[in-house]
Amino acid sequence: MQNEFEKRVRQKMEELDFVPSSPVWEKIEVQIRNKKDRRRLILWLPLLALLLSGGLWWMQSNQKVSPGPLSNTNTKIGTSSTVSSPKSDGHVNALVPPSLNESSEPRVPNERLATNASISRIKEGGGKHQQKKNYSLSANGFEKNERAENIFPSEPNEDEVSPVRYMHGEKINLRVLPKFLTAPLIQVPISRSDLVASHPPISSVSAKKRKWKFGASSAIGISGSSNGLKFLGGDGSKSMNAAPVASLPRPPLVNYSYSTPVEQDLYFSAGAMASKDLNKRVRFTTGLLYQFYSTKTKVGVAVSNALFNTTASFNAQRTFVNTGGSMQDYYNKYHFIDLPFDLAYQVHKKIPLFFHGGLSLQQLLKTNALQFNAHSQLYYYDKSAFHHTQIFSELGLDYGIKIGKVQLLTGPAIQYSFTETEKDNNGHHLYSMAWSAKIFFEK
Amino acid sequence: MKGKPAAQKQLYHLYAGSMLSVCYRYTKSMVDAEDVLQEAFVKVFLNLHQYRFKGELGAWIRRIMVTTAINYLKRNSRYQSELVFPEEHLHIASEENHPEVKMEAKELADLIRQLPPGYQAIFNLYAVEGYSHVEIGKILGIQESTSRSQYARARALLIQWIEQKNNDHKKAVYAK
Repeated sequence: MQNEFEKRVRQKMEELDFVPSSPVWEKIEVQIRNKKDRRRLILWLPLLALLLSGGLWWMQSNQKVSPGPLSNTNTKIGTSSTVSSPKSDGHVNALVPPSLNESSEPRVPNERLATNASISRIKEGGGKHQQKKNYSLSANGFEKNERAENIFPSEPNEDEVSPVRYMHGEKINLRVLPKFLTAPLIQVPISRSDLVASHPPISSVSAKKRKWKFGASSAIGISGSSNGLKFLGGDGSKSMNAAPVASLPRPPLVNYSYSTPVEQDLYFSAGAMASKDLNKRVRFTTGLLYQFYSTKTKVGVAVSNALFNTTASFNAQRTFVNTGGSMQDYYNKYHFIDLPFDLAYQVHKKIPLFFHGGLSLQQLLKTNALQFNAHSQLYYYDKSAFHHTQIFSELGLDYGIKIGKVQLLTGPAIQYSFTETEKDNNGHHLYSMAWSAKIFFEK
Repeated sequence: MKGKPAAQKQLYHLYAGSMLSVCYRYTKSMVDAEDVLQEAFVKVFLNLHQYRFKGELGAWIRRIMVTTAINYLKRNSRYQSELVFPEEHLHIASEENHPEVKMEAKELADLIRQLPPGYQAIFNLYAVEGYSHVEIGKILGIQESTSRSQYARARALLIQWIEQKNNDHKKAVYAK
C-alpha cells in the first residue's frame, strides 16, 4: 500500500527532466537503419537459398565428365568371372569405376567388393618402381586409397590377372585378388536386384533413376502472425497487438486499453508431392497441399450488426467487443491451398541431410479471422480485408531415410509469408514452424 | 512514422527529456542513463507498429524504458553483483514515517541513485512506477516477500537521508 511519502516522491520525480546529449539521437538513427536492413536481409534469405541451390545445380549439371578412351567394353577378369556389361545381359561391370564407365551405373554392391578388389593407376612408360595411385571400391563408390598399395604385392603372382586400360594417357592396372579370395564374389552374378537391396545413400541416384517420384507430405506445428521475423527471437507466442514488453505486467496507475495479444496456435498441412533429383545432390519438389494456419486471441461478447451503422466502412458479419468481464477465446483460422516450389541440397554427400528452401504460392480459400477497429474498439470479420493470393517463403532441414523403395524425409521447416495477411498495411505476416514428413515411392 | 526520419526525430525530442529522467533514476551515471535511453528508443521505433493507439503513448514508451533499464542492470557487470537479492525476511520498518520532501527533484533523484542497485530498482518500481510487490517479484525474478523487505530497507534508508538533508537545510536557514 502506498502512502503520502510515495506520492510526494512520485510528484517530485514527475518534475524531473533532462536534455540528452546530441549524439544519442544520431546513434539511435544509425541503429534503427542497421536493424531494419538486417531484418530485410533475413526476409530475403529463403530466396537467396533458392537461387544458391539453383546455381549449384546448374553448375553441377554443366560439369562435363570426360569419358576418356575407356568407354564401356565387355571386360572379362579371370576365367571364372561372371561380371559383364549391363548392356548385354543386365549385369554390371564390377571393377570399372563409374568415372571411367558412365554407362555402367548403377554400381555393384560396393561393400562386397571393397575388401576384394582394387585398381592401380600406373604412369605410362614407368618401370617396376613406378608411382602408383591405388583406388578401391567402397560403399560410397570409387575412391582413391593409399592403403591399397600395401595390400597387394608389387609383382603379380600367377593367380592375379592384370588387365590394362588407359585413361588420360595413364595406364590403369586392374587387379583382383587370388582366386581363393575372389571366388565367392565371382560365383555370384551381380544383377540389378542386388543394387536395390544394397541401400545406397539417397543421393547416389543414377541418371537413369532421375525420374519423378510421387508421394505425400504432411506437417504439424504452430502458426502465428508476426511483423518481421520476431517469432524466431523467442517471444513468438504473443504477437501482433501485444506490446513489445509483453512479459511486463501493466502498471496499475495507467489505464491501458490494448486489444488482446494474438497468440500462436495449431498449424498443419497435408497433400501430394512430386520430386525429381536434378543431380546427385539437388532435388526439386513440388506438389499440391492444403495448409491450415490458426492464431488465438480473446474477444468480448458478440454484438449484433443491427446496433451499428451498416454504412460503416467494413462489412461486419461477426462483431465482438474488446472489453468486458466475459472475454472468450477466439481462433482465427486460415485455410489455404498451396503450390510449393522447393529445391533441396544435400549438404554432405555421405550424410542424407538436405537443406531446402523455396517459394510457395498459396491461395486463401476461407478464413474467419477478425480485424480490430481501434476507434470503435470492436473486433469484426471482413472477408475483403485479406490478400487472397500470398507468396510464402520456406526453409527447412530434412533427414532422409530409405526403406526399400520408400524414401522418408523428415525435419523442421519454417514458412513465412512475404505478402501481408491483410490489405491495410499493418505489417502482419503469417508464419508457421512445423515438423514435416514427406514420403516418396520409387517405381 | 515507419520510414519517416523527421517524424521519428520529432517523437524522440518530445519524449527524450522525461524518458531520460526515468533512465537516470535506475542507473548510476548519466552515461549509463543515455545508453539505456538509446537502447529503449531503438526498441520503440522498431516496435511502434504494435502500439495500438489505446492508452497514452508516453506510458507505453515509459514501460519500454523501465524494462530496458532493468535488463540493462541485469546485463551490466557493474550492477550485477549488487542486484543479488538474498531471500531474507527482515522486520518490515514502519511506514508511518512520512517526512516532507523539500528538496529539488534532481536532489531527490540523486539520493535514490545512491541506494544500492537492488534497493534502487525496487524503490523505483514500487514508489515511482506503482508496481505491486507481486509484479516486482515477477519482473526481477525474486519472491514477493523479498521485494517487500528490500523496499522497506530502501525506504528507511532514503527517509533517513531525506531527514538529514532537511535538518541540514534548517541549520543553514538558522545560520543565515
